[in-house]
Amino acid sequence: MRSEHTDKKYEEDLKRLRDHILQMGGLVEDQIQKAVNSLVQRDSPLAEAIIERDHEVNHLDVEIDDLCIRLLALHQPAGKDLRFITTALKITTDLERIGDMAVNICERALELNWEPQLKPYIDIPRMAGISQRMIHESLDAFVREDTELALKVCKDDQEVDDLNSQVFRETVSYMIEDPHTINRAMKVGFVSKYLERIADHATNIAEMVVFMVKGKSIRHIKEIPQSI
Amino acid sequence: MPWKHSLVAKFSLFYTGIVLLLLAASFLYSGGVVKRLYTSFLQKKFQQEAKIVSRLLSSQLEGEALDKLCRLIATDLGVRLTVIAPDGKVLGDSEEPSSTMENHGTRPEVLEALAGGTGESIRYSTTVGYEMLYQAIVDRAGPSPRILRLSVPLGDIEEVIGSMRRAILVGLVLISAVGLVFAYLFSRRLGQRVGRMADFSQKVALGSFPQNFFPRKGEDELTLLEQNLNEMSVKIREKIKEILVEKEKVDSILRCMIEGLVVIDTRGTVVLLNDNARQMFHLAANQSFSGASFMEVSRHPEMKKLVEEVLACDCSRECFSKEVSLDEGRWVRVNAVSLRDGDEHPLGYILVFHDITEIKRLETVRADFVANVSHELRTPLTAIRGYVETLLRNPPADPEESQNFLAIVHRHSERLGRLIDDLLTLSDLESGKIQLAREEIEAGDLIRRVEEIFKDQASKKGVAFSHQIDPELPTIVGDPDRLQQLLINLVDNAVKYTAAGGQVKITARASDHTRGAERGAVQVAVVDTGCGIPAKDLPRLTERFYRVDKARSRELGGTGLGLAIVKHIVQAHGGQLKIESKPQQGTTVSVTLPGAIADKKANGVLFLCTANSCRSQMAEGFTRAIAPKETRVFSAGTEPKEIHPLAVKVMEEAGIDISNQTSKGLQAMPLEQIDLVVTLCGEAAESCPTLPPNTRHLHWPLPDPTIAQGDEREVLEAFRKVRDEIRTQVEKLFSLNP
Repeated sequence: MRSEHTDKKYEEDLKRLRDHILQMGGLVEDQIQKAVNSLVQRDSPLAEAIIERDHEVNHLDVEIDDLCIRLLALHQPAGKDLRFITTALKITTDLERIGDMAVNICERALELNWEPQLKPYIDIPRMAGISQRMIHESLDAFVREDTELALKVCKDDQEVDDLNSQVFRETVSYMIEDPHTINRAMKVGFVSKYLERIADHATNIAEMVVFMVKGKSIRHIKEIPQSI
Repeated sequence: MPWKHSLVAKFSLFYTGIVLLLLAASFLYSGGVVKRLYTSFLQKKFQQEAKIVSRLLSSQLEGEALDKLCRLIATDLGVRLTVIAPDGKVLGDSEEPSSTMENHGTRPEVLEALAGGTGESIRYSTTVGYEMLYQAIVDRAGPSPRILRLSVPLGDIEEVIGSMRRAILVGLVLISAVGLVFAYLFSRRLGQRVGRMADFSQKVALGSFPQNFFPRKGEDELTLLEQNLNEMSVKIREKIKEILVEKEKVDSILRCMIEGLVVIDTRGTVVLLNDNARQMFHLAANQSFSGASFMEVSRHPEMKKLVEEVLACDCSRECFSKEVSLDEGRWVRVNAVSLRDGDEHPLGYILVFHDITEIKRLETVRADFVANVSHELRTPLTAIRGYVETLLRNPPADPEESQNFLAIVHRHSERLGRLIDDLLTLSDLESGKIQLAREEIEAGDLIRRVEEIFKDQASKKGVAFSHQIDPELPTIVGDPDRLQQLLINLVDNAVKYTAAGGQVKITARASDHTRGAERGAVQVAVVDTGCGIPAKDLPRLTERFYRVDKARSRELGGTGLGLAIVKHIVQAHGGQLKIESKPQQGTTVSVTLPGAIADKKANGVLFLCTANSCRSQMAEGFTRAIAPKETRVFSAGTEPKEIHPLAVKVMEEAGIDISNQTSKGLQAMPLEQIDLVVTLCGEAAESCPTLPPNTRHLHWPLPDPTIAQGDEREVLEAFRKVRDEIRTQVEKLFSLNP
């Protein structure tokens, strides 16, 4: 009776961990989307609201950490569960960083909103869309243990990198043309860099998922394998 | 099934075992019984014989004489006879001289006889060398008692028993062989029946429920069982069918629901979700979510909050309802009710998601409209009131000044009138109150007329005004007044927003489409090089009072309703409106108006049918008769057809001559002219050539092979029915009978 209770509690805790990770993912996705909206639509109150909401992400980060440590201490899981919990521990760090990036974007948006718009934003919303999708898919891969999807996320990173260098070239050309734009162009470049970092974090998550499922590390290698 | 596990083998082995046991028992037992019976018979006989012998043997006889007499009697009786004195001395014996024999006083039968009158014993005789039966009686007839002992060797009886056992063995072996055959046959039959039941249960387990699987014969218990199984199968099948029908109902209800539906249990785990919910949350159609956490369906923070609220609330009394904003500006209204079991324990919640994005948008549009219309009406009104009040309170001394004031009042009242006229036109168009005239119009004339109206205005503003009309323009169908109004509104806008030195051009050309609704359509475009419209304003441009530049357009005298009216006129004509614009470069508004010949739904119909299908002939004939003249009807059969004479008769009744309908080969068909493919049976559909992607396909799946056989009246009736059915279908197809 007692052991059954413990097992049930353990199962529930694992489920809660999974839910929390997804919740955190959903939250940072929303943060990114709104952050980029605040930039594109020059909506300063929205940006401030997002900076305000970052504490929710941080709170979830702490909560997930606690949950993982409790699971490890109380149940001494082995095998798949152990890999799942340790991966979850690492994923939260990445998600928390992504949340910070969203805050950074908002800060740049607030600064940019004080000045006239440098250029219409076309690539930045696209980058945001792709990185958001990457976070979504990497977490989907995490909960479904889908390595195919995880590998797709790793491959999608290239697209964001390309867009980033495109934005970089563009902002540099603005700066060369007119030194007055340097301040704004730099900030736009920062935003692009933040998004690129977000995509990198999503890639990290995807790589950890591959490790979790297959026990095979695909980190720090040049060519992403076609399949595992 | 391996032989050793089969029922037959087990039955046979069991039976054989019993027979063997029986055999052994009877074999062993019968010997004892026979021996006992035989000895008791012999004993009785010996007692009687001994009595007789005692009378024969005179007590005076002794020695040799007694021996001799004994030998005679014993030979007659077939036994050995011994006469013994009470002290055990042998007085006479039939086989050996009595004088040489030892004392018999200790023999058990002798002792027994001395004690009780008779005595018997069966023992191995050392004298003769085999088992002997001894029977002794005391003869008290003489002066001194003597004992007469009769004995016989039991060797004979062993022989009897042996032969009897052989007989029993043979009998038993025969009987058991016959019995084994019967046992085998019986158990095989039983095995077959049980095997059949096993087959049956396997079929049931696999989900097929055979009907009348067991034949109805016999009256035994197995038959009863079989009949019950038969009945059970039928019942289960019915139940499953009922359940399937119910499930199908629920499934189709869930499928047909426009709303997304998610059922969760009390812990927030997904139990069920329908296709629309999948679409709403962008989920893969084939992934199963049953048992997954709601977070896996949507991890939007708002949804998380929503589920927490639903789980916390007591939805039993009233329906939980909330409007939630999702990403991409989507809004959903969520209604939740709790699911409860009989004891009012909550089982879960049903969440229904309505997509209210459009409603939200319309709400915004309506709120804007009300705000705008009051503002638009008030502006001229305020001006009028101001000037009229001035004129009333302190009329200017200078008549020219009052004239000036009155002119302003006049201008504003004109504007107010225009505004109200436009609003009325719009509301009439929207409500469909205006009946559009359907006249054939030359687009060129229309454009030239409008150009006349704006020529002066344009040249005054310094805008170059030109037109470019295709020489061979198809005739269009529509209401000339409305279409003129449409063009006036468009050109008015173009001239208004084009600065001096710019260009306004009206072009008209035939649509590229050779097929379908847009065949013969005319595309009229008003192109300007004006200030252009930002991309974000394009979708809302045709809303009433929507202004791109709120400050400027009113100065130019617009009512804010022009494009809304244009949109409605275009829609009423079944045309299409397209606005393209680049800021600072110009705007192109193009209107596609349906041509006179595009009224028909199809201009080429291909029939695919197999040979000898009377139905297809009738369909083809009808289509030729009913389809509009421009419609080309193709037919592709595999062989030349023979038409049933009665089918011809039925067609003639309807006034259709099908004797000269010819079929052409598939290769001869201009595929790009085919709008509709009608297949009349499955196989022909496969031979259908690759058609352009938008081709419509209609399938009449009822080629009835039995139709051409039977009673003439019945056939005629059947043909008439088919004819009427096809007529309805074809008429519907071409919408000639709306």
